[in-house]
Amino acid sequence: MKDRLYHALIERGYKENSAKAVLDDLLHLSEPLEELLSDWLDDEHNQFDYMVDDFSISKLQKERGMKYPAALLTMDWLIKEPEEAKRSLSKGNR
Amino acid sequence: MLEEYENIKPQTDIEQSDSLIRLGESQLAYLKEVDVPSEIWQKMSDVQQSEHLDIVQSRLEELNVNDIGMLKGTNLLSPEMIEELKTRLEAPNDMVQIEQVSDLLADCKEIRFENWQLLELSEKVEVLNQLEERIASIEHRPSCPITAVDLRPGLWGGYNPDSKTIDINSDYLEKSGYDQYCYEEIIDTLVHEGRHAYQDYNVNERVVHPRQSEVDSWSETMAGGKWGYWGDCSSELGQRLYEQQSVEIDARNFAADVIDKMNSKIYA
Repeated sequence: MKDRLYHALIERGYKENSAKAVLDDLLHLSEPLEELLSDWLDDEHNQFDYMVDDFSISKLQKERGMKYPAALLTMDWLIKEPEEAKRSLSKGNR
Repeated sequence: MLEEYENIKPQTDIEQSDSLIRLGESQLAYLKEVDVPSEIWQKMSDVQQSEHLDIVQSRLEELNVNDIGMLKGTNLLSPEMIEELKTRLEAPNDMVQIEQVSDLLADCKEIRFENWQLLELSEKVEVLNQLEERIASIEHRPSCPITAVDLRPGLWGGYNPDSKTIDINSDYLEKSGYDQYCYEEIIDTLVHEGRHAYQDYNVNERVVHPRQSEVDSWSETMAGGKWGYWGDCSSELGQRLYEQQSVEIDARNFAADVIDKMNSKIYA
């Protein structure tokens, strides 16, 4: 699984360092997101949506330019540490 | 045993800084010897200035002059030289920087919301540039030109380590004229991006930060650092890894402390 995911990330535009940085977190996604990652691994175009409160994968992709795996990781953060994640997303980047 | 020390009293800050400027006549002359008047300094090339500053810096080190601020108003060195020297000498520690930057912001009438609202966009950019110059001087680094640019929603601004410039989201800058939240975030962004410029200067140009271990930690999340990602990497790595970069934590905390201090000074 790890190798397959790593190679998929590289083939789909991730640089080596970035792929290595996200690999472990992607392998430990919360339950509802695991399946979405698996679907995406099967086919890059399988980018199914998921919502946590006011945030959704599609919104993170559209409004913040996140790639699908990055949006999955952000949703995972919203599930695991909702307060911190929401504060960070609301505050924005700079 | 204690009696031997009964005449020793702790020095006040004023006494300490006073003792720093008590250089002997010959020491003052030794320093004055390498002064270059402003009009000549401005005609010198960058290389000439840099070579000359090497000499001045070595004399300052010889004389154990660590606080370049004490030279202000002494006529020993021209103001231009003092500003250039600042970017070579150790910066004040973070607590002092926070105090000085918050003083600067609290004293700036243009950035009080009631006045800020009245400024045109170009005037707002001009005020931000003037503040950035003063903040850079406090932080002993070169200042960075600030421009208002189109950026995606959710991105307030950014520091560009290649061009050494700071971008501010023009939409948010526009909104800061009537929206208090945007206004506060613009001030936060100014300090935050300035801190990134300070981190970059320390990691890639010259170490002026008093704590080397912090500079080492910043270098890990910069270009060439051990993690191999830096800046706004959220589009690839997600929000958490972006948020938890050492440079982001430091810049966020520094700006938050400055804003807290500034508010306590304004609303005290």
